[in-house]
Amino acid sequence: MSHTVLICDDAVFMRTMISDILEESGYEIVGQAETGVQAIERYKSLRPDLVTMDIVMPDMGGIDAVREITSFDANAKILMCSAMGQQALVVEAIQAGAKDFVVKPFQPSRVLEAVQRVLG
Amino acid sequence: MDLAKYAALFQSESREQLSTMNEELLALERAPTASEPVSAVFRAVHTMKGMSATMGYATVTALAHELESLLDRVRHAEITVDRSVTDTLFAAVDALERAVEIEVAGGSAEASSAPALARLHALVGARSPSAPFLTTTQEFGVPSPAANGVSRAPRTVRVELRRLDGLTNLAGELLVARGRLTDVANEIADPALDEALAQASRLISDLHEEIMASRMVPVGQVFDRFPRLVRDAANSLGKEIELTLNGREIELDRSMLDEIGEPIVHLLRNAADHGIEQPDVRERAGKARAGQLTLTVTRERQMVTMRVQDDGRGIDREQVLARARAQGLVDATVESLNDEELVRIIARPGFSTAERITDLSGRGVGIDVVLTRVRELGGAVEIQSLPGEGTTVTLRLPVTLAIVRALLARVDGEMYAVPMTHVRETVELRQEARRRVQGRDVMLLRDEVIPLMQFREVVGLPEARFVSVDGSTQVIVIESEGRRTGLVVDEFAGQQDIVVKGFDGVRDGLALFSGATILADGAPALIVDVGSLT
Repeated sequence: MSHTVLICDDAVFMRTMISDILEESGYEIVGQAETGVQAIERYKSLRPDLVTMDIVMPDMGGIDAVREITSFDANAKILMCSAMGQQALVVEAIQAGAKDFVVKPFQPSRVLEAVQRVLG
Repeated sequence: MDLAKYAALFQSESREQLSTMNEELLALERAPTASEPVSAVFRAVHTMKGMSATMGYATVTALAHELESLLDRVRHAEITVDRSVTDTLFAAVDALERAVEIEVAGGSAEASSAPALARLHALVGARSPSAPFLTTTQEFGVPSPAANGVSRAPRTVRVELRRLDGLTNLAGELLVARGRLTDVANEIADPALDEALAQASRLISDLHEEIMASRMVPVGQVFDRFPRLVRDAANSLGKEIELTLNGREIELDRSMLDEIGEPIVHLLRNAADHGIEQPDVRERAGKARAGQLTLTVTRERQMVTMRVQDDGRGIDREQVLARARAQGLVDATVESLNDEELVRIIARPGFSTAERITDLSGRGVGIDVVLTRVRELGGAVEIQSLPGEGTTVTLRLPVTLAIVRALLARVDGEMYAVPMTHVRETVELRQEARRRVQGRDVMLLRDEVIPLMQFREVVGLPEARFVSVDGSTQVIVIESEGRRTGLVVDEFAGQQDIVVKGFDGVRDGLALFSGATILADGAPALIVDVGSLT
């Protein structure tokens, strides 16, 4: 059975791209979220194997969403997607419970590597 | 990875982000110490940076990056927001917008973006561009009242307008097919068939309504850029103008909205340029320094009204009259102009009273452009102007270009459709109410003298032989640009919503018809371009 993924990013563009990359490699995208609050709700209802999480989103940022999700499910597997210049935030996200990160602009191969690592 | 297929998505989403930036920058300009607009612009810029970097658009990325740096310093109160900062931000957003279009089209925006980039850089200072921009995201957790409602926001899908047009067309054809089917079913008179048809008929109506509804978008999608536009116009003219947008949530067919944007911009620029006075002039006249410009959109059934109102000096009738006389547009004996005459004169192609040529308007391209456009769209224009108090221009438009409510009339056995936007009333004209004035046929309607026009003559048919028992004639009183004309037809044939099909063949030649339609009984009908008749 293929792994299920929830994609969280405020840009449709990014969601489409990540979703295309992962679907091509056989992952099943079970949901998308465009805000931190939505990400938490969707995580709880969908229980995906993996979450890709943007850092800067409206209403609640990605890091707070990571905190909420990992406090709900300590085994949640979250991959941070950050833009360049956010290295400090990435560290914070890992401390909050994210498992790994990729930096935009995405290379499909890097994204897939990171996803495989996280799903271990 | 094939990036080409993401370019369109990048472009449309960037446009949304750019529109957000402009909106929030205007909010920031009004309240320079507010933190929420800064965070909102930051988020939009940040999103664009991520997308453009992925697409490999170097200049957009560089601009977004530098903008982010500046906003970050603003956010940390290292830079105080003043006029020079907002101007730089606006200029950067403009450059960003241009760079998006250029890079999506495959060009290089490096050179054209250099000045904006340099300005940003100068403000940001010598700060290292690779330094982290954020320390915590907490500050971005903007507690907006909508936050809890976000998850309930409707989910959307982007659909090419071409596809929607295709659907609309098919649904229109389906309505026509239903009409024919109903006729056949009536002949056969089979209860089971009737029942099945009634059900199919309801479904077709519902389908049609759903498709039409899916084409509707709030006018704000296009009009939200106007505050920015008016701000820039006011700045370059040294004026103070406050634009109020009312009814931005009113929905309009996408095709109509795309068409009407430009005429509205024209009206706003006209008002900013010619209507609203310089602040000191206003003060001397006992008005507030800042001119009030209002754009109000309202909807009434299948019509939408857009009103552009300013509290400026009003149209100078003397000047218009003087110029109209000089151009031989009015009789030398005419001493004053009423609203209708005023519209007729300023609507003439190339008529302009601008004393000087500005960037904004006054290149002899005046309100005639607006009137022509609105007429092509099946709408009507009204202008009211009071000296010293301002000008109001009202546009009345059908909600959609695809479907028009029309009055059907039969002439020599052929059906013609007259858009209801131009129909004032229909009259059974009795012989006693007809007169001849200066060799022309006219009718008397409640003290008003209205010229008559034989539709048969217009389309090149011989005069009607048919005369009703009491000698009355069927007349449609049509109106365009304040002028009324009585159109004599053989017979009224009721009202119908018609699906407009444009045609190009005739448009170049005889400009009598704006399109054609297929009626419910399957018969074709030409749509009369009322503007060309009056």
